[in-house]
Amino acid sequence: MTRPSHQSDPYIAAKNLTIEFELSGGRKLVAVDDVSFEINRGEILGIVGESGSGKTILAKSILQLVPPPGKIEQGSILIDGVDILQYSDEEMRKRVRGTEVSMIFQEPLSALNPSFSVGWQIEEVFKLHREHDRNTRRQMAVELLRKVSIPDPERRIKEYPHQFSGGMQQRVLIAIALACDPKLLIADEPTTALDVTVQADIMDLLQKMREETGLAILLISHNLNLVAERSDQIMVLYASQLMEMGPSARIAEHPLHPYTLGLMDSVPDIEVEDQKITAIPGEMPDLTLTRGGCVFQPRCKKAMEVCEHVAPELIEVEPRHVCRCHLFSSEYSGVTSGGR
Amino acid sequence: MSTNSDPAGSTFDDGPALIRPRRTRADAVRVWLRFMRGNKMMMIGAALMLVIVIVAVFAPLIAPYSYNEMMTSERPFERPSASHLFGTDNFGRDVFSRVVFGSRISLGVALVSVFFGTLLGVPLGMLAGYIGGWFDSLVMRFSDAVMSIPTILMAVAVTAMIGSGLRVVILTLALVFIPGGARLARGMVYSVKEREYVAAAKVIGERRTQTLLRYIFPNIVAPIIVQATLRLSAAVLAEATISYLGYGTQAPTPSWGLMLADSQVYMWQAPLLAVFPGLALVLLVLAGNLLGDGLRDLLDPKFRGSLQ
Repeated sequence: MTRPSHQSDPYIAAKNLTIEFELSGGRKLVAVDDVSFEINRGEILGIVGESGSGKTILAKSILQLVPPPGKIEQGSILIDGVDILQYSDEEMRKRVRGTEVSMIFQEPLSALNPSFSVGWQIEEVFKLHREHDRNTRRQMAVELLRKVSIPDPERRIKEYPHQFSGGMQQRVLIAIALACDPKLLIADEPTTALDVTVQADIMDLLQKMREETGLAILLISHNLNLVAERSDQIMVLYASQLMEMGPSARIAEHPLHPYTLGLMDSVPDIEVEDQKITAIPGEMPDLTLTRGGCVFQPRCKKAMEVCEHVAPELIEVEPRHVCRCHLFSSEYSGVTSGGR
Repeated sequence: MSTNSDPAGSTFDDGPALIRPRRTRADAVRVWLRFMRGNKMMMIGAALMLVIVIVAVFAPLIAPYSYNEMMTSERPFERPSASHLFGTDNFGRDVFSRVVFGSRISLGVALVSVFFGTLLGVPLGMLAGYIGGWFDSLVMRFSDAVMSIPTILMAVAVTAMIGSGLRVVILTLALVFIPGGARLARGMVYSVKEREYVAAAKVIGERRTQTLLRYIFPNIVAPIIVQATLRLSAAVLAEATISYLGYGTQAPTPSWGLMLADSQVYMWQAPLLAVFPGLALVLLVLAGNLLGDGLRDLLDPKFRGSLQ
């Protein structure tokens, strides 16, 4: 954070991140397997994957809040060129959490302290990282609530979390997360627990914040369409591995990986009549077992013989568009396009 | 219970520029009073407790006689009369005066022992639950050990160490109350520390001690208060038991438990002798329980929010 950042440098870069959970009996569960990504200032990276694919653990590793017995085994996370994985808990608290990186959660009500007014909870962030007097803190908290479009903030600031509706609670959570101007916001399924109309409002709000402050956002969701619509880059995770990553527009129009294709087909399209929604058959593999071949092979419609024995590498199919699939490897020719 | 604020009302009434005046202390008191009015049972409990506390504090002014003055002019076992409201006991002492002075012992022992038991047990349990690991095991094994000793045996052991008297009762009960408070606090911390708002506290860079005090403690305090009030009643009864066995309050100090125990012998000659200290005990226990229940509701943030 001390080094001057160049225009081309990404704000945050994770390299070869591997997170393991040591289970009883010496078994190991690999929750994140050698994942790398970069996010520029003001950019939205969407992470898509089903439950248990490792997306939340990946996000929490940025804050070094991987719950035990999980451990970051390998890799680095650079913020403006400084590896924050080398930071102690104290340094994380002072330099990263709340001021560089912040986070909002899926269930806004359970992420708010039920015993204090929302005003107290916002002011607490100022108390931790800024040196303002009480009145200034209160005024800033009111301003913040106004910024996240909560009507009548002077009055509502004294209210308790349960007195707000779900959408308003999520706005409060966003206000708390953004109180000390973090550069990166991790949004872990921010709209999953909300009504569809409120979902759009919250996403609009996040985008507005991004435009106003150059906030980068890591948007976690299991809804590929939502992510494709709202983010600049998409990362598709499956069974702890990065399956495909590239610009959202490219992936939405032209997905490469059979898993990404499967995800797209499993969401109904409002403009097509009488369509069949096809679920991806099968279940995610047991992450404690090591497999010889591709992790998606048992469920893959396009699986070939090689998939069973050789684990595919990440291949840069187009510039900035990578995919982990034998269909695109040069030694394995044949089909070169995974388009529909 | 909670009146969820009406979205239309809160959104569109008074304009955004309106800033309400700061709430003063008098306002806070008014909020409390309004809550108490709405909670009749708590009102009764609070009133009873207030009466008992006043009686205990002003005992020498209220009691017509000293607690160990024997009425030589009259016979023992006098029936209640104008001069002796509750009659006299086997030594010809005024029972009303003894009950009045007894409130000091019962209330004092209960409050002090529960206070110290909670003060030591709850933080210990909270730390055990929060830190976990070897510290947790240590605290829990210690509390298992203490819990395995029966209260009476503990009183005997304490007597062996420091001699008899009121302090035995207080020390014994405080010791006995530590493990229960620790266990409750530990269990509550374990359930609350996995909540998302505790994770959210870490995300904004909250300190560990502050997380425990501001994010965990307020959300576990209600059951702890309820437990403490129930223990107030248990302490009053335990004091009676220990005193009855001769390890606690010594005659002629008038403890309700001791009076109850003494009157047992004269059950057939003077049944009323047991009624008055017994009634006093029941009222104190009842006051504690009603007050505790009301406090629990008051401490529920859903209630607090709906009052403002």
